[in-house]
Amino acid sequence: MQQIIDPTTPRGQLPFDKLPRGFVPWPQLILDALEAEQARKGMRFADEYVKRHLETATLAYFYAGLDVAYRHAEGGIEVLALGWQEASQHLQDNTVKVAQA
Amino acid sequence: MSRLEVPLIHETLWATGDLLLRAEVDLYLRDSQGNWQRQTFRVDNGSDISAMPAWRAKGLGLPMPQNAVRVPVNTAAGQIVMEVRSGLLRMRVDGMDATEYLIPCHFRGDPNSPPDPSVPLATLPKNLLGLSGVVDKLRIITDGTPLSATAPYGVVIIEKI
Repeated sequence: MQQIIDPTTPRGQLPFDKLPRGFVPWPQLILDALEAEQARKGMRFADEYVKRHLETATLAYFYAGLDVAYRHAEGGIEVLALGWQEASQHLQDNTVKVAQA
Repeated sequence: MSRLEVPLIHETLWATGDLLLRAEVDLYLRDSQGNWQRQTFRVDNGSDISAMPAWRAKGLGLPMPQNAVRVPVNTAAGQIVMEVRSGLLRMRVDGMDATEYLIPCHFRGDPNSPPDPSVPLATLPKNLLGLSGVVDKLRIITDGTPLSATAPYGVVIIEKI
């Protein structure tokens, strides 16, 4: 598997303890890029796809490679824990998703 | 025939502006207590064998061999020597029928030592669905034809053989 490390993202620039926790809104550049991509392809993407893209792109932007415990929130995600040791404490909570960004 | 189509996901590589595509599928893995644990796997035709971090497998309660070997593994950061436990995953595919599959899996790393989250990104292994012991049970096709607004970059198709 080829994993590209993006040095321009917060994940590539910030130390672990400075990564955002709590409510994380969809980053404006991800929203802008999504709009540009829909314009380039000449179609509006389905809501289901947009939601999944925003979630995965936001997770990768801030937390690539890390395990994240989070909930869906209006306009973003609510990050509860980062790193396997913290995030795995939420595995039994059905309201929380634990995934590797 | 059980069949699943999962939309490819797109992302942007901000450093270059490149569009990146990836295929992921959710698997249910049977733990030592007989419960199902849901995990997302990257569909990776470039991987010889499926793999997951040993500390994650332990945290999920998956059965895993005790004995490990140290083998060189090629990663994006170059070749590293990694602790590997060669075992099996009992799994079913989310969205398909209830068939259970037993597939070979390399459990990578120390099950008792999750990596420090501040270590370099390339040393954090991912769940990978590779070829060995999988493609004789599941036909996996990547089709980049934009099918609809729900799959604007195409789909990965998984069919029971």
